[in-house]
Amino acid sequence: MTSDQARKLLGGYATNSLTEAEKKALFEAALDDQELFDALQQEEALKDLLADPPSRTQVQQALATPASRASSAWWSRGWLWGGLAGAVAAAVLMVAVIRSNQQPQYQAARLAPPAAPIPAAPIPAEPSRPAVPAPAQPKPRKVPAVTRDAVQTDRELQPPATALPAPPPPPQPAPAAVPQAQSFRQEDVARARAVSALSGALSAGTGGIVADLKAPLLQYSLVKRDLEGTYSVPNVRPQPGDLVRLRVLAAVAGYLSLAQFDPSGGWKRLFPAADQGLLVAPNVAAIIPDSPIIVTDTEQKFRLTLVRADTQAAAAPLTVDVTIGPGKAP
Amino acid sequence: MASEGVEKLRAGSREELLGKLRERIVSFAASRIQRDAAEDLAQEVLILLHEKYGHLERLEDLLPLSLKIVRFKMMAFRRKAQRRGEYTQVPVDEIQLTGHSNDPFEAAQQREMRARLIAAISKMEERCRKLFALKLEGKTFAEIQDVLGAGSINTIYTWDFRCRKHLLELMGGAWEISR
Repeated sequence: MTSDQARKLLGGYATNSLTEAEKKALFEAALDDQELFDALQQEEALKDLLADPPSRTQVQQALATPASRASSAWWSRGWLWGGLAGAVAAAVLMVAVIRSNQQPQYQAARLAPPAAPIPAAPIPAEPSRPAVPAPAQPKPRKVPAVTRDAVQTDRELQPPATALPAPPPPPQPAPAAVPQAQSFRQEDVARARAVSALSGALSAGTGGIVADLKAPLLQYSLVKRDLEGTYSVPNVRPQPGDLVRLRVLAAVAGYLSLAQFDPSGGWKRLFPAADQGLLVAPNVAAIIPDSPIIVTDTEQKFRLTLVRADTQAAAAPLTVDVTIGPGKAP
Repeated sequence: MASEGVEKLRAGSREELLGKLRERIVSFAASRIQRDAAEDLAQEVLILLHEKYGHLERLEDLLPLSLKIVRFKMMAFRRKAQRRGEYTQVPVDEIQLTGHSNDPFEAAQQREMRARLIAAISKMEERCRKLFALKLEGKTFAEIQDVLGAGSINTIYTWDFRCRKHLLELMGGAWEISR
């Protein structure tokens, strides 16, 4: 008997089903075949178990019980479904982990289109005036990987009805008169150029060009100060003691402000200190407030408010509530 | 003179048999424990076979006996290693005291294996369950062939081999959970 043939006798060893000749053949093969010897050695555990009368009886009872319909049909195989369920669960988990690790995590605000289109104010013709570079019409901007929970609906964006004080007052109707130096944060040359273009455009009466914009208008992410004093998107969730600020990106020009919720006194303006918000140009990031927010053991609630600079939408400020706390991604 | 020769031949064949057995045991044990410990273990098995079972000469007696002794020695080795804290250091106030009942470790291990085996059996195909049940009734493969009406005994060998393989897979590849 060859080793392969003898191997087929293995199943009879533990149950003591082998004849003397079969045993001899199996043992002789095992003596010359280490793999078979190892397999035989492992069968000792089963042999021991089946040599125990109560255990043997229990196994026999289990065999006498009708099988749990372990048919060969693929749909009735538990392991197959278990494997599939495991694979799906693993895939979902991977997606969740990847998406939760994607930085920055934006929260986006969206404006509903106006109920009825309002005709734009006529622009007075000034042929003698030098051509002012018209601001590029803000295009609906794609929000990178916005998580479902992070997107607030229009209803959520409405300011609270009664409990909380109203957001900052609407902007001045003539933004051209706003002193830029007061609230502008000179982030970079591009930003300054964009604000300059914006001021020119607003003074030319081009407000309302984004009145029917449907893209997310307000996005933000958390940035953390490192040891060198620079701010960057953290790889981990904030911890108590971290110094953080908000990087805010508006798709439309407007006045940005940040308020902090005080349990005793409602919302209190945190930034800027003056009534006027920070004038921001479309799609230019602003990092606010000036002084970093210290992450504490308890959660702190903030409210970002963007009052659109175009006069037609002045009555509908955008608000996004932000919660900053240990281990919490806003 | 002739009987002396037969005795010598027998002694020679026994020595040869034990030599091969030693080789197999060392290889098996070395795949699970350290080589020097494996050699010590094989030596202890052979001493036992020589001193206590010196009257056994046939392979059919010596090999299953050595398999059993190896199993016990391996379990004792693991227990001893665990007691010494070679793998796990346990704080002194968490050490469990020895009970007076029969080896609770073995009992627990057997209980666990029984539960796994019963669970695996419930997932086996009907033919495999039938075959296993017949084996546990004490029937030989030839008798099982008659009961199941197979054309040849080799068919039964093949069925049993496949059923055993499937059962082993259902149990995770080993009868016992390796620790």
